[in-house]
Amino acid sequence: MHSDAFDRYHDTESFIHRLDPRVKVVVTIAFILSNALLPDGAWLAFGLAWLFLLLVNALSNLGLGFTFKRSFVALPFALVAITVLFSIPGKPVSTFHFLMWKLTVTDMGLLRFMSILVRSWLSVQMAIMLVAVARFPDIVHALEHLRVPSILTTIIAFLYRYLFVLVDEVFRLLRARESRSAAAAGSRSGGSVAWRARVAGNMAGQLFLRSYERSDRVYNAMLARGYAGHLMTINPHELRNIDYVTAVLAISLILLLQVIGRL
Amino acid sequence: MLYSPEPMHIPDGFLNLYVSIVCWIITTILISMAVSRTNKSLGEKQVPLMGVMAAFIFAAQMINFPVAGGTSGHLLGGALAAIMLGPWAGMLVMTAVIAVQGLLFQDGGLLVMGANILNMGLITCAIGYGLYRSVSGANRIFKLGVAGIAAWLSVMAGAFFTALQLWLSGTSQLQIVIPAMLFVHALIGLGEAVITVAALSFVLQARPDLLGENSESAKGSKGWIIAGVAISLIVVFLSPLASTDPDGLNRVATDLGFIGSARSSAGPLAGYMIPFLANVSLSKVIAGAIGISVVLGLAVLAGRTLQKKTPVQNRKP
Amino acid sequence: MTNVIAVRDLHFSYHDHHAALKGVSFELCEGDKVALVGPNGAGKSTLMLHLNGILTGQGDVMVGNARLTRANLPAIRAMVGLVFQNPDDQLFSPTVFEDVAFGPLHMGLSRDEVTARVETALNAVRMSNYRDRLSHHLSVGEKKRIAIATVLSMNPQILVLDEPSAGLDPRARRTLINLLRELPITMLVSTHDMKLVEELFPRTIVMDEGLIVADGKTKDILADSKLLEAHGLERP
Repeated sequence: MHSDAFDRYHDTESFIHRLDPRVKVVVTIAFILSNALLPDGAWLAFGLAWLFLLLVNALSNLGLGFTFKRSFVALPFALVAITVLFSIPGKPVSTFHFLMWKLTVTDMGLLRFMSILVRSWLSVQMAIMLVAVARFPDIVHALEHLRVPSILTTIIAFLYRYLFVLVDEVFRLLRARESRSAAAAGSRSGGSVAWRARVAGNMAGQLFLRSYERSDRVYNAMLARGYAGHLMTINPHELRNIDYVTAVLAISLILLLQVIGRL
Repeated sequence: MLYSPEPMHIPDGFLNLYVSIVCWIITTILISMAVSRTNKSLGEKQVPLMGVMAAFIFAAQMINFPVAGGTSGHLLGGALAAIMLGPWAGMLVMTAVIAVQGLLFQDGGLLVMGANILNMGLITCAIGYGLYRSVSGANRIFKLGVAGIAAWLSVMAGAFFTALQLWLSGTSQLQIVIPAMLFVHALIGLGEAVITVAALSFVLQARPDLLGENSESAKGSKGWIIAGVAISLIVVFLSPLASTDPDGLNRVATDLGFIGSARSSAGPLAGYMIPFLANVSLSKVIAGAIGISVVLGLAVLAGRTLQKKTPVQNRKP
Repeated sequence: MTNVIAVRDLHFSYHDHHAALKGVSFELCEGDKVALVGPNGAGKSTLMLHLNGILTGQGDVMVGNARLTRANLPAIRAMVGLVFQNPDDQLFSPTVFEDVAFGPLHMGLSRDEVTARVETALNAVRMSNYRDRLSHHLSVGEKKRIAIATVLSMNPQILVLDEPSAGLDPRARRTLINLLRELPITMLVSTHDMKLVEELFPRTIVMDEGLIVADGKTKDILADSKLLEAHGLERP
């Protein structure tokens, strides 16, 4: 498994890449919040929000269709909202039979359903953009600047650091299990579900102990470099004028969207 | 697949803003409590321990085993984390896992992360630890059995509250989403139970000191038992009620001002829902959030007044 | 000549009553480059963990002129730079910069001083352009050199390395050897790599079963085949 299997950062030179990570995090959250606040059926505002998204795509030198290609991640969850098509009172649009029920899709139901999908689709793309143009350690720094408790950001930083190491161990355990999952000629292999579950559980237990012992060694390494219970961090980011200007501009555009959405 | 998402991660756009905010309020309160509690109990080691453990939970979620016909059981980890590390540390670890899942992999939205953390990180830990703690004196087999039930219930509870939030947001119909979520997660919960029990059993054998009397696991207060049992009871009693008699729950919700009372009587799938935004008053929402926080706070306080387990004194030979 | 490290009659047993050190004594002067060899389980790693107070046993550990106590641990840890065997344990920050900055940061230095120390340390290991890299992207050889930088940034008086060449391919090993040769700092290095010992270290300490069984010129020890055989070692 390649060491950047868990990286979502695309290392390119661009205006957006050069921005302070705080700006990127704040604008992302503002955009998602704005989507949530736009009322159902505010199609003009949704359309303009999409243009905003395309603009960010373009400015990041990652290609106009970058987030679009990755945006259908949350689509399966749309199933959850499907009942909304039939349950909101309004003018019937179409009727059909499903098993023993007669289902009527109403116009208000359709409006609501599409609004939910569009909001979700727009928001997830901005989230994809965020991790593509800001390195994850920088996002953690931004969170720290934004007053997220440092114990939490430190745990997240450790998670990110050791994620690859531990997942690699999982894959080694899985491969070892694979290599020993042979079938004798003529007989069915695989064992019972209970047995398979126990093997899986043993792997989890094995991984837990290895992780626990690793954390002891990491603790010793921290001690060896002067850690005495109070963790200090260094966030090497300075806000430049361009960062402030961009942030203000972006937020203003987003506020404009809100106004347009309610016209 | 390298990374397979769980069906409980709510994306942005599916929860109403008010529901999202209420969940954030509850989550923030609980996380703050967790931060200050773990400071006192784990001390210097907490940072490397919880950090590596968070990576462990994340990685362990990839350990799967085939169940039947292409489906596989795997782990969410809240109950396991809480039992192995103690309830508060477990909550922080799960928060980090869910945060990274949302931020890095877009598994779960950013604005609705408060709800996701509550469902998959906080409630699962409370139930997992609360029920396990209640049998801390019992023999191994019994403890493992209870741990399995706790793990299963924790997944069901997470699914239940997820469904509840979706309903309150006007995204799903109560009598569809609750049975659907519970049914899907009943199977997933079995996988959770089995892996949790097997992992615990392994650790109890190899390093019993990690789960013994002096461990973090044993030092949680008994208030957790109340919290864990209370949440389990809510789930157990409300789920069938919501599925079969949605009228009852709807009536309660309407009386509390959560949902508008326009009804349509066009058959079994007729909806009772009006978009949440239109009819609720902000004060009722805040009152609801305060109420829930007070209940949880009382549960923990109750535990502190109960006798805490005193550490066993080591006697030198 | 001043002693950088002096250990007198060090005893230590683990919780399971396994006696890992049974009375270890030795001295290191400024500028010494000493190899620590012996079979697995001899107590080499255990001894190293005593040199910066992660483990404490009975007996004395003197660093510079100070006896190692709880009170002066922070100062000692800045003086003794301990590099562990597994670089994944040593590099625990997301980026190289943060890892190398960890030591000076926890010594209380200002942000500018910390940045300067990071630059100097990365220069010393010839990895200045790795400053902004993510730790989990590095190869084992790269990680080992950055691990050395993480303690160099504290300006220690002695570098204590546990199996630095283990797991390295020949090219990475050669790079490491050149680095160790160039660093003008007192060194104690535990290793199984006898060719490394022969090439870099004028003095060798041999440990076995919790005791020092030989301490002298590398040339003489490597010539004593009976000694080598008795303690599970081979000539390079």
